[in-house]
Parts: sequence; C-alpha cells; structure tokens
Amino acid sequence: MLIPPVLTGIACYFMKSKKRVELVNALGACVEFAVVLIFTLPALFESGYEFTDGIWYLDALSAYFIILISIIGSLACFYSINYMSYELIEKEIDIPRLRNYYLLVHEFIATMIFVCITQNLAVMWIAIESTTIVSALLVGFYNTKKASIEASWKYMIICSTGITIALFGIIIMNLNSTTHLSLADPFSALNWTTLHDQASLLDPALLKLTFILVFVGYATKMGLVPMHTWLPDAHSQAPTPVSAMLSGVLLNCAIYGILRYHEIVIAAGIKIGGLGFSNLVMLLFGILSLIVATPFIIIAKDYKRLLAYHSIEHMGIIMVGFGVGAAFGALFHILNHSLTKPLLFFGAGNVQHKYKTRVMEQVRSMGRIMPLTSIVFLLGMLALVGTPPFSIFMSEVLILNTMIVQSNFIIASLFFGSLVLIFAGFTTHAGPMIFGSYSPEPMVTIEATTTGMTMEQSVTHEKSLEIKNVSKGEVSYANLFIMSILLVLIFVIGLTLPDFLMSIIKQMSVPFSL
Amino acid sequence: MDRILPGIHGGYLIILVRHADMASELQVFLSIVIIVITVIIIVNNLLKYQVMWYITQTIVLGLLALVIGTTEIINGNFSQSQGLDFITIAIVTIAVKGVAIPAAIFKAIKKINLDASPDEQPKAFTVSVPRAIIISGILVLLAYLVVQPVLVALPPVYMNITSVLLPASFAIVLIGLYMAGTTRKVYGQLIALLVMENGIYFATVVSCIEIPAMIDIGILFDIFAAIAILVMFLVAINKNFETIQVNRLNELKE
Repeated sequence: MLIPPVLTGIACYFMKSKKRVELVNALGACVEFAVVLIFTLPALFESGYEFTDGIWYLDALSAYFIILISIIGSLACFYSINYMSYELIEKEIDIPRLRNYYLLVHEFIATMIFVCITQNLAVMWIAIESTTIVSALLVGFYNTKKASIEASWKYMIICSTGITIALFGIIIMNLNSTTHLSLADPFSALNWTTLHDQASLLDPALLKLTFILVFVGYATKMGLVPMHTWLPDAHSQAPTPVSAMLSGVLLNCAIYGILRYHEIVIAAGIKIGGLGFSNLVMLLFGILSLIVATPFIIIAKDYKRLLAYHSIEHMGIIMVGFGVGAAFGALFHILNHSLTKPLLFFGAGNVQHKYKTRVMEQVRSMGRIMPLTSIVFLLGMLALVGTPPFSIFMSEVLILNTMIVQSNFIIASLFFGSLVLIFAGFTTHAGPMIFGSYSPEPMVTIEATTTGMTMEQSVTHEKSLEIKNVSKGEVSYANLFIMSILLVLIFVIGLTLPDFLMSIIKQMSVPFSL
Repeated sequence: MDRILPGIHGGYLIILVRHADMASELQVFLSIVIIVITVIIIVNNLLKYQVMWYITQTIVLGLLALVIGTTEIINGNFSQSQGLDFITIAIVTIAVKGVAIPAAIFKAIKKINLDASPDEQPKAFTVSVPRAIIISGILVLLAYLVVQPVLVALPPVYMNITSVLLPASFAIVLIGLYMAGTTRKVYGQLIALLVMENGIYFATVVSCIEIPAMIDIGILFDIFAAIAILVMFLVAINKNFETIQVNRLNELKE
C-alpha cells in the first residue's frame, strides 16, 4: 500500500513538462486508490480479519482510516491539477516547485497510510512524526510569504514538542511491558496487540502516566485545546488541497494513534468513579475544545481560518463521543467530518481564486458570481454545522443521544449549546458571503434596508464588483465535479446509512463502547 | 585491592562500575551534571554557546549510557550482546545529536550571521540565573513527586537506577517545555526542543530497556529530519522577517 504513493511522488519529481507531471499524478492517484481498496476491503468485510506481522498490521479499524485517507488523498490530487495550474498561471509557483509539490503530496499520503498499518507503537510514533515533517514542508510551500513561513514554523515546533512528550509516554510503556509482561522478544514489547492481550498484567499507574503523556502528544497533533494554536495558521496558509488533507485526514491519524492506546487502557480496566480513565481524559479535552472553538468560529474573519476552527470543534465532538462511550457515533462522525471538510476546503479554494482574498468581508454575492460553487459551498456549510439531512447531523445526534441516555445532562447541555452557537455563527458568515452585497460607502439608509436593494445601491454594487475585478463564472467545472461527489456521499449517508457501513462501524465500535 | 588491579580488563571505567555503590553514584553524578547543563543553557545568551553546551550535555549522556550499559552487563541484567547493542545505539545517537545536528545549526548560524552583534539582540531566555535555578529546582521536585510514586511497582532490579533517575529525565523534558514557553527568540524554541529530545534519550538510557535498533534509528532519523527542516525554516525566517524574535512573528494574529 505504501509503494504506489512513494513511487508516484518520485515519478512526478522526475517528469519534465507540466502535462506529464499532472498525468503521472492522476494515474498515481488512481493506482493508489485501487491498491488500497484491494488490500483493505477484505479487512472491512470479513469480521475478525486480522493481519499481523510484527511490524505491519491490518484490521477493520485501520482499514477504515486508510480508505478515508485514500479517498480524500486521491480527490485532493485531482483537485490539485486545476488548482496548481491556476497558481502557475498566476506566477505564484514555477515548474520545479510544481514537481516538488506533487512529490510531497504523494509522500504525505504515504506517511499517513503508514500510521495506520503498523502494529508497533514506536513505529507508529515514527510515522506520525514523519507526517509532521512532510506536511510542514507543504504548509511552508509558498516559502516566500512571511505568513506561510511563520505558520510552518509554528506547526513544526508545536507538533514536534507535543509529539516528543508522546515519545516519553512510549518509553514508559516500554518499561512497563518489559518489566511486567512475559515477552517473546524485545520487539514485541511495544506491539499493541500483545499489550492489549496482556493488558491486565500491566502496572496501572504506569499505564495511566503513559496514556496522559501520549494523549497530550497526539492531541497536539489533533489540534485539541489548549495545544491547538498551530492549527488555524497551518490550515489557512497551506495550499488548499493540502489544507483539505490536513483537516480531513491528518487529524484522523492522530485520533487513530490515541484509539490504540484507548483500547489498551480499556482492556486493562482502569476506572475512575465508574468511568474509564481514558474516557474521562478524552471527554475533558473534547468538551474544552468544543467550548473554546465556538467563540473563534463566531468572530472569524478569514474563511479558511473559520474552517480550521471548525476542525477543532469537530475533533472536540469526536473526543466527547469516545469519552461518553458513544463509539458508534464518534467513528461515524470521523467519516462524516473527513468527507465534509475537504468539500468545503475545495470550495474555499475556488472562492480564493475568484476573489483573491481570504477575508470574508471582501467576499460578497457569490450566489451571483458563481452560482454552482456557491450552492455546493452553502450545502457543505449547512452540513458542517449539523443541519439535517446531512450525515454530520446524524452522528451528532447519536452522540447527544448517548449522553441523554446516560443522563449526563451537564455535558449534553454544553455540547448542545456550543452546537447551537456555532450554527448561529454560520448564518452570520455564510449568508453575507453568498447572498450579501458590498455595502456602498455611504451608510445604508433605513429605507433601503426595509425595501430591499434600491436601484442606486445595486448600481454601486455592480461597480464595486468591477473595482474588485471579480468576473462572473465558475472557476472550474472539474473541481465542482469533485466537490459534488463528496456532497452526494454525505447526503446519501445522511439520508440512508447503508447497511454494510452500519455493520462495519458497529463491529469496529465494540471495543470502545462502555 | 584485587578489584582495582584488572586494568587489562578495560581501564578505569570498569573498576568504577565494579563497585556497585560507586557505579550508581557515578550515574547520579552524571545525571546531576546533565540537569546543571540544562540550567546553563537557559541562562546563556548566544545560540553559539547554547549549542556548545548542548553538545556537552549530549556527550555526558553518552557517558552515562556507557556506564549504565557496562554496569548492567556486569550485574548480569544484560546479556553480552544486549549490552553491546545498547552501547552501539548510544554511540550512534551521540554521533547524530552531538555532531550532525550541531553541524547543521552552526552552518545556519554562519549563513544568517546570527551572533554578529550580540549586544543589540535581546536575550533568548529572559531568565536571571537565580530564577532559572529556582524554577528548574521546582520542576525537578515536581517531576520526582509525580513520577517516582508511579515507579514503586517496578521489579527490584530496576529500583537502583530507573526509579532514581527516570524522574530526572522527566524533569529535563519539563524544563525544555518551560524554555519553549518563555523564550523570546525563534531559535530558543529550537534549543528547547533539542533539550527535550535529550531528556527523552536520557529516559531511554536510565530505563535500561533495550529498544530494538531499527526503531531507535528510525526515531533518531525522524528527529534529525525535523531539526534539519526547522533549521531551514530558521534561515527562511531570518531572510524574510529580518528578526528572529518570537514576538515579532505576528503575521497571523487573530
């Protein structure tokens, strides 16, 4: 599974012309997707499927994450073709940098898959750190811009620091397992299947320390509050297809890392006040992220940063879901977030190319200028803030339902309150962007607001559009097609959760449920 | 006296570690040296000297690894091959951390002419010597309070070294975090990260566990790549911002 992306990346690097690079990129993306499907589908559909090899490992949970990585990765590769040609025309980049870009994107996909197919916790750490390294280069891709360099520095330093703490946890885990378990060889001391099987023999105090350290480390990578400060910067500065991958699937890799430890802690049966120890930690950080992200969503000025704060919010929701034991809802939410967020980032990329700004106040009347993009964008936004019938609504309700069944009313009300506020934030942002007009310099009279747009106003409006040099028309129909694939997916999943998907997620959620 | 004589066996070091008390005293002494060097790094002003002290710290760590490896072989906790692996990994680690990483940083220092006018530049860490000592002391105490109770369940073999010194390594990680949080220069964050990485290696050494060589080298390679990229960004920041102070990196404020 790792071979196709690595080879594609290298091949892209050695292609001479732009056309060839794009061709290799597209072919490579298809091959990557096909290979991933061939290897992972048996793991998803045969219950109890496990492939172990000391280093490599595959079961339903890892297959689920890998397929998500591969779907979003391939779509981002296709989206990149149009996006990057545009950057080339705008002279933001040149051909050698284009080659670099495709090299890094494919290696990025490879490192993310690497995270999910390993059995050894230390190797997983290596993989997660290597995702940071490759993606930091992508975040700092426009390395002549101040903001972009700053974002990548911040990203790299915060994530490396965080993940160093996780490494300390792994060393303590190693100490724990070598001293308390009977192991075949030193290599299996960090095999999480071994640890999981013999979890009851592990020393609980050391295991708790390990979980806290690893959680703090990987939560940094996941963007949970208070280690989230790198996330909005990195997501807003990276090239848009990369932002989509960062938000849609890279954060999932960190979740995957945490889930493996979560499984071990559950198997060890460590509890505090009736609730699992790891559940408690996850719940705490999750609800904190949700609450802190809310005001930032409401006051956001830059639409890519807005989407980034939404990522923090959704990571919070997923952690709350696992925390209260609504594993089905949380795993389902991972899928939904991974499909919805790239859709919006792709839309944001189109908006950015049209308006050449990321400030929301300068983006007005999208509905008139690019009707199709704005329809997809609006529906995507609605989905993201949890409007029925889209799939995010379903998973949020499932998580909320679990809380209410457990009569966990304080958490439930915090959760619900944040979601309502975020919905309100959405209406203040997306409405004006799509339907609003540029406010003409003289203040709008009361008469005008009550009777709608007057003649005079609409004239000034057209003028201001001309001044901004925004022409009518869609940016690219190919990109719209990519976006609509995702839109259809979330719509269908939201309306009728297919049986096979339901049984897969149910099967995966068993070890995490209370 | 017969214990002091076997010079043929391997010199002074072996003689030292043959005495269990002396060996553990040496280990504790080296650990204290490592913590003291961390404090020196905090109060130091110039990146050049910080990196020098960082190299010293790494070498002391390597020495500690050598002492522990030999002790464990003699005490019979490690087999001959395990011990040799342990020491080989230590040597590779020192080569990367003590030579390759500093070389990259020195190259960057030359490139951006960092320490040209030291008087005009503010300190990387605005911590006075007494305060640095007090805060480090508190962090060491905290590390012992948090980690040592957790270690009581370890088998007696590990009680000598691990339970005494593992908290110290955690303390270094904490001090590194404190440095990262308070520094005013961009490269201060880099140094803080390096100190934290050293703390982690310290932990691996004193927990006396044999991590498979492949994993260790993978981790080392990852760290090296991360530092190399950070150094690259450091040069880019210097070129574009004309400053390396953290508080002037404010393109991305809300």
